[in-house]
Amino acid sequence: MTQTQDGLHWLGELSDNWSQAMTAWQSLAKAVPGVEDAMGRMAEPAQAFTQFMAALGPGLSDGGYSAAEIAKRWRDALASGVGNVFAGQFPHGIGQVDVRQFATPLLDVFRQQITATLDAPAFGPGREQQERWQALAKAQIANQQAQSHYQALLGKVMEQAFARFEAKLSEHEAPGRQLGSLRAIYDLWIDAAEEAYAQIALSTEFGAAYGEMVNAQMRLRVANQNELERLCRELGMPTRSEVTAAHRKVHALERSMRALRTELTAKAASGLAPTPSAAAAARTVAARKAPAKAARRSKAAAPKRKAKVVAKASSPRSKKATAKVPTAGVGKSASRRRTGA
Amino acid sequence: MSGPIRISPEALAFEAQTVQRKLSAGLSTLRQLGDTQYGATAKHPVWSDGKVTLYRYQGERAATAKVPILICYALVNRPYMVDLQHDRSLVKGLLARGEDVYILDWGYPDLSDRYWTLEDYILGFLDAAVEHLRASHGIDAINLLGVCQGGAFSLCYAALNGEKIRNLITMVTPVDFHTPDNMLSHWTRGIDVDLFVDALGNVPADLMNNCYLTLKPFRLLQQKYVGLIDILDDVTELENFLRMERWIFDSPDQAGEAFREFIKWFYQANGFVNGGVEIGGREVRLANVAMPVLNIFAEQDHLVPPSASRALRGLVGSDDYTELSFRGGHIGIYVSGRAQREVPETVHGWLRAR
Repeated sequence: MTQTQDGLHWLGELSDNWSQAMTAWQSLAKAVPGVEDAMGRMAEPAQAFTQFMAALGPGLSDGGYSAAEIAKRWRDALASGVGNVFAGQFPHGIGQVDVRQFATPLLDVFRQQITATLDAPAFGPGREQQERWQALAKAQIANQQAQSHYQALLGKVMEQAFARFEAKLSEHEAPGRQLGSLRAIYDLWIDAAEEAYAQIALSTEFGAAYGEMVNAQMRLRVANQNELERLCRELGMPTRSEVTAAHRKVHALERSMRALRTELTAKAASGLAPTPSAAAAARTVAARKAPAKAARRSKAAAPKRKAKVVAKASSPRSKKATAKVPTAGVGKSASRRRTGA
Repeated sequence: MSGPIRISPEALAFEAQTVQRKLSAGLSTLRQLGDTQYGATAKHPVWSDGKVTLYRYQGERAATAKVPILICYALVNRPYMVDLQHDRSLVKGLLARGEDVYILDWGYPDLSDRYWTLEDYILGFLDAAVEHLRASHGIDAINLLGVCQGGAFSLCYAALNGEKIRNLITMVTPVDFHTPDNMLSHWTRGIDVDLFVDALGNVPADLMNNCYLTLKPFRLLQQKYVGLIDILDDVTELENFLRMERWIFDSPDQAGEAFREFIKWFYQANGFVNGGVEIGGREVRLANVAMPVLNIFAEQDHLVPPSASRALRGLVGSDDYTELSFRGGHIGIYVSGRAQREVPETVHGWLRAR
């Protein structure tokens, strides 16, 4: 078999064999941690596009497909669900847009009825609880509506992307301007899709839909949090609100401490107050490296250490002095720090 | 009329075989790679307060500059982008030219830090770092280099504490947040940020990253990984890719209150242009930025469009204002080959002339 025949043979069988090949390939890749994800990242868009190219078949080499036909086939390939850029990012894929169009009127009626029920007045000892739950249910419905609106706009992106792709392909129909590689066609599709996306994403409608989607999600989150808090309180468990209140106090104390430290330092510099202790001053790195040891030292040598800091400010040797400070074990947990230095 | 595609069987075969070969090679190449390391230059901490640490970089030669440069990075990513690897390092380029370079690392805020405000960051941590450098170097003013959001912080700081900043350099820094091409700002304006922060506490890094990826979803979620096939047989290139990938997704959560203020004051109210930003009881007015300013922005920046940065020219009070319009993107300005040639030399030359 010649090299050409080999390549064409591979491409021809690609559509049928790709999934199997990628599965086997990814299985091999599982032997190395992290590699599987890389394989998955590459495989999905590559799979979509090679399926598409294989579907074009022999028409590739004789220029037998029009721009419209190519765009249509690409749309069909994407509708099969592979290569959808919004998959995993958002709840619905482009293949579901048409289904939603049919279902939307029915869902709207259903939502209206449910919403009317949720507006019903509450009575009796459980009225407060019922009102909260009604509000929670309304927040869920509002969130679904906001998501649907946003998804509908993403559906528009795909429609316009196909149209732009076709238009861009048409620009290459003139002899001498034809596309000569699979990658060039793929890159053209990406250009078209990004242009379509940018146009819609910068529209007033999209900005409003995006904001409402985020706001609806947050309202739902707050409603859920409130219910959970109430439950935790009844069970005698600490709640997020309590921890948050403690954090607020800690922050206020930290600010006060810093302000006092600054004030003391300023007074010390002007000779109006005693030098702040080393423990209260912005901590040196050495002291933080070995807290116990540093604490012992600071008790015994606080005045000396401050004198050293003051001396550093005016000494030409100060650069050397600071360069001697040890580097390890400062601040954050080692698992999140890799300086590579 | 012919169709738009004309691929010879030979070219098709070659392309198909190449993909096949690269994919196969990828299995072996990926196995050769261990944990991706980053950071090209030795550095040591010289000051810290809680999670915030000031580092000093150590060059291969002693610094000749008398005035140090403090790099103020953004909160939304880790600062090692400026020193990613040996051949992609703004820091290395500056050190090689004799500059004395420090960087402020904000750390990873957790929920106990959710009440940190912009005042805490700018007039607290940043000011403390500046004070440390003024004291340790025995000088009145330092050079401040702000990156992206860190550039906005630096502008605020310079407007409020101009006497402590000798020269100000801003890189890919948003100034006018309401230019029509600013997608991030466009989306942000419809968000009820009070509700958002009250619901989340701190803003999760994954949420932030998802937002950035959806600015260009087809390129960043698909094309980038199809392009990865091209380098599957090249260990060095693959390492570079993975290092960048690591940086992109190694993101701190955002302290809730600081996020609330930044979005409200800048993304929504466009405070540098319209005024009204008050930090520590003082209004931030860019007209008060009187020191020399070098403003570097990227022509293909999709996060901070050049139009958002260029606005600085008409707003600062300085009569010594210089721009560098860099041919590249928001990240390329640090890691591209062009960046290594142009950016450190521009910064160094500009500083030496002042």
